[in-house]
Amino acid sequence: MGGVKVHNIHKTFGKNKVLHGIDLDVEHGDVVAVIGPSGSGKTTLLRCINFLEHADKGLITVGEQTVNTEKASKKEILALRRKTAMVFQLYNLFNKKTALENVTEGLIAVQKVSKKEAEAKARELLDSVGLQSKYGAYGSQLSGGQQQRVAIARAMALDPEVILFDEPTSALDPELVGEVLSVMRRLAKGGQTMIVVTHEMSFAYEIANKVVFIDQGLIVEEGDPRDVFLTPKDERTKQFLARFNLSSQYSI
Amino acid sequence: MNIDLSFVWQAFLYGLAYLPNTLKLAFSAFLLSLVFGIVIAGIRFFKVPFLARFFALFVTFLKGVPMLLVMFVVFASASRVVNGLAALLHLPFSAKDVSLNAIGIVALTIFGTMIISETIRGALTSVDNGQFEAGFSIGLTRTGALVRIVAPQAVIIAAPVLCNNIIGLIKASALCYMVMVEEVMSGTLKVASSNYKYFEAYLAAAAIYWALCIVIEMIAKILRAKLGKYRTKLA
Ligand SMILES: Nc1ncnc2c1ncn2[C@@H]1O[C@H](COP(=O)(O)OP(=O)(O)O)[C@@H](O)[C@H]1O
Ligand SMILES: [Mg+2]
Repeated sequence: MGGVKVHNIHKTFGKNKVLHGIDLDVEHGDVVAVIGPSGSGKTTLLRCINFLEHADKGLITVGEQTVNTEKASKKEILALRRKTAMVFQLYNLFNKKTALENVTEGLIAVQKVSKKEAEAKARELLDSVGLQSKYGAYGSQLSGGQQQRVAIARAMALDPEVILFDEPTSALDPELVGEVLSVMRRLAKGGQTMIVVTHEMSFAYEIANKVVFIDQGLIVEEGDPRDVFLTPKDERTKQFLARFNLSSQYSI
Repeated sequence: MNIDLSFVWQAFLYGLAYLPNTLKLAFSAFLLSLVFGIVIAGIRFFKVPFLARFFALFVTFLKGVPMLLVMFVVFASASRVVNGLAALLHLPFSAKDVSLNAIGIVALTIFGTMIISETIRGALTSVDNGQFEAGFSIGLTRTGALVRIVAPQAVIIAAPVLCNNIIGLIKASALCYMVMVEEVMSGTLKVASSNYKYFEAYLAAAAIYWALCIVIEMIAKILRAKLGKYRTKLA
């Protein structure tokens, strides 16, 4: 059991219909890469899963809990959010808090762990993302890559059923992308369920069990990364992937 | 034109005796306005149905009304409102028990609430929405994210503006003179009523308000420097 199920999610902003009935099945321990052109609804889909956007219609299951978005209560939404964590494109670290405090915040305020225990766990997590010397640093004192690693540690601290990543490396300078991807790679190997929106195609190819291609609010193609990347069936997938020139990297 | 400097000094000292009441008017109104302002800002920020629109209207309406008019309206309606309320609730008090000071404080609070609610709301809106979302993403409630994440950042933004709001209330408190409250303005003018040296009295009053505002500006400056140091630590 466990994992994430999304069933028939619809979302409209004003007159702009963004998601047209998305179904997504993520097994516990799976890493799902979501790819697709800009504006296709990838971010909106992620945000609907933890109710940062309230979908108009559809069912969302995280772990054992299923929520009908049409009649979701505040309590249900909160419970669902506490089973998920999110890593934002622009990190969204808590201002005015140190790296350590960013990680302990959820443990102390949400999980009611004692401060001492929370700090011990936070140190362990910051160590694991390579930030053992940055416990007391504020966001402005950290590089983008370091900030994003704090954000990942903050997400990991809550032992969520799933971590949602929204283009976690696309705001980074190229030389900082690697350090974030290697943290994510380790997380994936450790069995963390992850849904990752990304433009890092080789990374998606390498770590995902499943790739989902979204275009104009619909899943056009999904499956094993080998199949989707190397022998895409849909014309739109082919066109999209052509830009990344993957076949030259991965064939043979 | 000759200025009687010794009379300026005399009026200054005379007015100074009323400084405690000016401070009482301004700071009572400030504290009350802060409480109401925070509540109204919260209601409008979270778009509470009906109430948010009601207070938006309240703020817009008051913005277009001179402070002096608010003062006169409160003064003129005070006895009727108080007597009416007492009769309605069967309470043993009447308008005679209401001090002029109380009327001044009510009028200043109405004005201050409008201004301070805007200060707080502005500070809240200027905190990046991503801070709320990050709070939600780790499972905080809306109140939790407000109290633990957003409010501490809003305080830093609001503090210097609130200092300006206090100065505004101190200056507005001089209008209480128009409804016979005894404060710095009326105190300095009272000494001039015997010799008609009003110009000297005005100078004296100006000097007192000026000194008071400088002191508050200085406190604000220290506060800003402290917060500024803090702010550089922010992302
Ligand atoms: N909060 C919002 N309000 C209005 N429109 C939005 C909002 N968020 C996203 N959209 C619109 O939804 C569409 C999909 O956006 P998004 O999910 O961000 O796409 P992607 O992440 O795939 O680039 C876009 O047309 C975008 O303008
Ligand atoms: Mg996006």
